[in-house]
Amino acid sequence: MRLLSAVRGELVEPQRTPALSSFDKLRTNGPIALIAALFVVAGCTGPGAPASTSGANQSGANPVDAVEITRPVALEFWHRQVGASEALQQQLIDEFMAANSNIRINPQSLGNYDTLYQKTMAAIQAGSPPDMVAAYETYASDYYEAGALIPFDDYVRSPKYGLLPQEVADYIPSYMEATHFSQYGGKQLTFPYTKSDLVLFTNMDLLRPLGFQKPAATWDEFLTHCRAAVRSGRQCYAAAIDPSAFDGVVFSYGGEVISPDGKKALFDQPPGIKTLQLYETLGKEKLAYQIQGIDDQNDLVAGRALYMMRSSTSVPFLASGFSDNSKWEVSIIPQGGSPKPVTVLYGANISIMKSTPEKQLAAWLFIKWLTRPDVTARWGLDTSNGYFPVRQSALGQATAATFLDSNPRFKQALEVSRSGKVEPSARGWNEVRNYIADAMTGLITGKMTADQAQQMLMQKSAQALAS
Amino acid sequence: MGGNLPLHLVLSVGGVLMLFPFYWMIVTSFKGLDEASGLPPTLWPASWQWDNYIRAWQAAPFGRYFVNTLIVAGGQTLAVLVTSTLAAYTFARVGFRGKNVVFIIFLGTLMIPLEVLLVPDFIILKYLGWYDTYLALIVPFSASVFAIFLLRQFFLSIPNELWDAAQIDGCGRLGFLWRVAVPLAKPALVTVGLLTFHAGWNSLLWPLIVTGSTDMRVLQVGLTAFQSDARVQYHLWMAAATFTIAPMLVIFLFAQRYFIEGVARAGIRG
Repeated sequence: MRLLSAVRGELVEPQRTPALSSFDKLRTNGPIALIAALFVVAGCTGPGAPASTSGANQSGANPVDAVEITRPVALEFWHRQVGASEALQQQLIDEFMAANSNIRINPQSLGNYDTLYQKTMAAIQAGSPPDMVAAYETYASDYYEAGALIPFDDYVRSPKYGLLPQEVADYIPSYMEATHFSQYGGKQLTFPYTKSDLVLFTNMDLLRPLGFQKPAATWDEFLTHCRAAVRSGRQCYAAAIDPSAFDGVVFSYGGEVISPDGKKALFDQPPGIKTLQLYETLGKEKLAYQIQGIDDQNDLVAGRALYMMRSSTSVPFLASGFSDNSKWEVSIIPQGGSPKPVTVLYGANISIMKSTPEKQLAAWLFIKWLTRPDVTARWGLDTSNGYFPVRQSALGQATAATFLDSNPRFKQALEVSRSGKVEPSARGWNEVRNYIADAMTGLITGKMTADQAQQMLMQKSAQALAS
Repeated sequence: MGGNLPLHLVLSVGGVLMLFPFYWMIVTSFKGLDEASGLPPTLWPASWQWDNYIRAWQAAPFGRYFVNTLIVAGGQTLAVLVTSTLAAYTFARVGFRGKNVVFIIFLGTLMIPLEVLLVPDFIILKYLGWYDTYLALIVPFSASVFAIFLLRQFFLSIPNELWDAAQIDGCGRLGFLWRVAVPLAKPALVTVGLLTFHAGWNSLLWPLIVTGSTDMRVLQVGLTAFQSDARVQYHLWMAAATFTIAPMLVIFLFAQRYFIEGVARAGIRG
């Protein structure tokens, strides 16, 4: 109960977190879509009204405040961390449990997000979901549709257990934005946890001999650099088929990939068309080549590629691959006319599944503790995972300054995240991402023109978003 | 010999191509991370990192994983051998109405992907109370349509005269199966056993879905410890892969004669 006492001591007037539009990173594949479809056919229950946290009761009191953890509770936490990152997470969990003897957390690594999603969906259908789960926003949306997930809003606002206004404001705004779901009245269905961003990685040892001293800041410069590299017999852009990177390019041209109501893809708008034409040029002039898995990292380190675009979680790997920092750079992706620099925010969150009021409260207390400035600074500033802290004040921690000083490329990636923008989470967008991947592959391999890709994308997106 | 030279050359090239991945795995398992992930690749470690195996072994509870995998793969193999032998024998040598239709329906189930079965199977196991138990890992794989098909083809090749002679000697159907058909089908049974054991040894998705504790996890789960969001520790991964597949290689080397004979006589072609 020590933690509960501490919580009580720090509470003041609750503050509603802003209801913002939600976007996210979606990662799925055929089997995942199949599982989701089967799940729907099998009869999911629709968005739930979680019993204990559906909002203030008739007297206006926050229902969360009435809950007390008087007996030991055990929480199942399903996640995807492995190796050193899992060990660090376990260390944090152990510390939390040491300070909260009534709360036991049993973490379970599922290794990757696809399996995590599959198992969670199956467990929901079987009536035995975990108490907490790491989830992308689209996953959380599916869990909520199944009536298995509870919103955070009452917990955040709770005078007894919630967050102070200044604490809410301390979370990185764009991370918090992604956790609120406009399609569900702005409810907060997830909490930021494993965050990163899309950045441009440059092998400076290849760039400088070409006569350029800085990574490309615009797509025109990017093409110029690539053409120079190819003329000198080098490969330029090691391209991972990542729909998020495609979205990032559209954003950089000042566009959106989907209409505000989530009903129509916007690949036929000028930013979308420019993006398709860019990929067409990269493919036609052999300025880009398709890679498998995370081979682009190896190619960049080995000097086989001038550029790659990928999540900032690659920074620790590249830092260990390059012998010194002068050999590589991290920067925001090239821009194409956006009013202000923009890139894509990556990363998953944690959600609380519907269980008992005591378990739900225990889960919230853990998540709140996990995102405390000093804790998120340890979790988010560690070479084992390359994630960012989720609180701004985390960067004021003494350990943060030391870490960032000794990891300048990580610091650059972190600065880029200020320009981060979240991706759509509309129903059907998962499927659209598969078509974006098809278009990227077709364009980079030269098997598709920009016009063909646009037609395919618009046609299939319309079907996917209408379903 | 001279006339066979081109054939031997082709076979040698094929052999080298088949063995190279194993060579690459073993050699990489002794490299450092930089060398293992660097380009151009090296065919021989610049410096031998013997402790890779210790580090890989310590990255996950591989001892427990080995025991679990042995129990799971062994249990599945035993169950499949029993159920498939009985079913295949029935389809091959026992006449009953609608036999061919039933057999075709059996074969049709081969086309159902695992992903379709995940949710319903998981729900059934949860209701049975088998979550996080060996039963959940073994029972759903205790019958194999492919094994039934393979053994049926083998049993069909047994001459009718043997059955007639056994009947004259007073042998019933089970007696014929046990005393005549099974001994004759040893190569096919070894093939089925090997393939089933191999599938059980390499399973990953299902064990992840139906287990919740480290104590119930299997070997392939251990291999995921070396891959994170953007980092693969190739050298340790290859070391773990080497000691993970070593038992399978040993088993295959001992059983390969039966395996090849079983595949050949059952009329299965790759």
